[in-house]
Amino acid sequence: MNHMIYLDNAATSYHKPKCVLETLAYHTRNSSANAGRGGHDASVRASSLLMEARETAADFFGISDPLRIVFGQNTTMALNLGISGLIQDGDHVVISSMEHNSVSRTVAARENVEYTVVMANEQGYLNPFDVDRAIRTNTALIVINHASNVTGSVQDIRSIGKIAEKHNIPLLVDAAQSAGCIPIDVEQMNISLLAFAGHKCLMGPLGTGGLYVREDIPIRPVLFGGTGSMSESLSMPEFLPDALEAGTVNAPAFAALASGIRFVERHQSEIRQKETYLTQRLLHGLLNLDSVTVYGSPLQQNRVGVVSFTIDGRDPAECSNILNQKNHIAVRAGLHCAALAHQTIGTIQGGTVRASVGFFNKPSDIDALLLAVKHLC
Amino acid sequence: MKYAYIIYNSITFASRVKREAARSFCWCSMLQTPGEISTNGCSYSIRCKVEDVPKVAAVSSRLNIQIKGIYLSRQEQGKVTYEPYDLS
Ligand SMILES: Cc1ncc(COP(=O)(O)O)c(C=O)c1O
Repeated sequence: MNHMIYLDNAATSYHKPKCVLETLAYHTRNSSANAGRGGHDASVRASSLLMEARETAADFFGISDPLRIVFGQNTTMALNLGISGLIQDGDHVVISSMEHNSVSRTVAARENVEYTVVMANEQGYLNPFDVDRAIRTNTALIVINHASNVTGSVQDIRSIGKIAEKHNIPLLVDAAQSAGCIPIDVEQMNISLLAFAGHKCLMGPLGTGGLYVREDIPIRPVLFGGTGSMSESLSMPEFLPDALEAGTVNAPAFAALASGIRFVERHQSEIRQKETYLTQRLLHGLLNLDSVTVYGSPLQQNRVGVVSFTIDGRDPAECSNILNQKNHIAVRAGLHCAALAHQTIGTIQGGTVRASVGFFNKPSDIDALLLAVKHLC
Repeated sequence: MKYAYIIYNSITFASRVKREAARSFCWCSMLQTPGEISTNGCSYSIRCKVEDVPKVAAVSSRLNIQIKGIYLSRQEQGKVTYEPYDLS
């Protein structure tokens, strides 16, 4: 597997910083007791690790109270906790047409909840005023994808946050593709709930993600079970994180996520610079190939390193199979669990090939992909 | 030796206070609340020196974390007894 060129960072960051791998290994060996489920030293140590991870994540996102961060397995879980914990029968929800299925399916699954899909343009950008126009008297939640996993388009969350504030409606931001790539400050952006992946741009291990819930948001538990607190009661505790964090949390993985966040913090400008450079190189190369169509913005502004394209007369799945088998390049083809986004950009039939860059990619990885795509044209 | 037990609803609260207290050089330990003074199942306490109670209480209040009770422990002839501590 050593010679694989990994360009599927939007799915998960395969290559992790050494500090993340070492932290994970160290704490798996030395701190694998169950956090919050005992008073013995090993359990207390695991609880402290989790608290340190919460503090690290809170600092990173401008969250003043780390106890408002709930840890879970991934962004999907965080989005489910946020959406299902907030909306009730009779409510209306506003989502965008760039949403991942972890938002659209979760909202659509509620029979007695109506929702409006605000359309982005064909490059994947929303007009914040359209979000404003979609709001009704019974709108209980706005859910917006920060950075698209199909086009890489980044939405103007600050403006949407202002709209949400004006109407006093909670704004849930899906930061699966942005947390770690784009600076996020929940207070400045007026984000009421933030769902993030630990295992993508924050460089943490698989199985890590989280949800921030602002203090004034009344959220109900979605998952029920042990929390290591108030065990005499048949109800879930009302305080966070316990109210939304039933079951054992993987403390070593979150300690490693904290390492990943610190790594990203230390290298923030370097990461941004490198990913921008690699994305530009990729966009430029693809746009120069006649039979390739690139989706999303051809420019670098307001985008992350996710690039979708198709090759005339070629099935995207076939392209990715050839790239994998012949060139050992890992990309992803199809709808990327985001049918709405593909409807928006006109690629719902067959989807696209998606290449997504990460900090550990080299310019030669991009060149290898471009050469392989050229051979497919 | 007398210790103070400051009781919280969860280990998450206790560990948040403990870490924050350590930042102002107030060192405490964290342990499951002894049954005799526990306000509910699975509560956790911070154990600290009696003179540090006001500091820990101030940290809790700054973090908006509710204290469920404060007790002083005394060990006599191998037996531990607890008496409530009045913060005011
Ligand atoms: C925009 C977006 N939202 C949500 C998800 C789901 O993330 P996870 O795999 O962490 O559950 C993804 C995954 O790729 C995504 O790209």
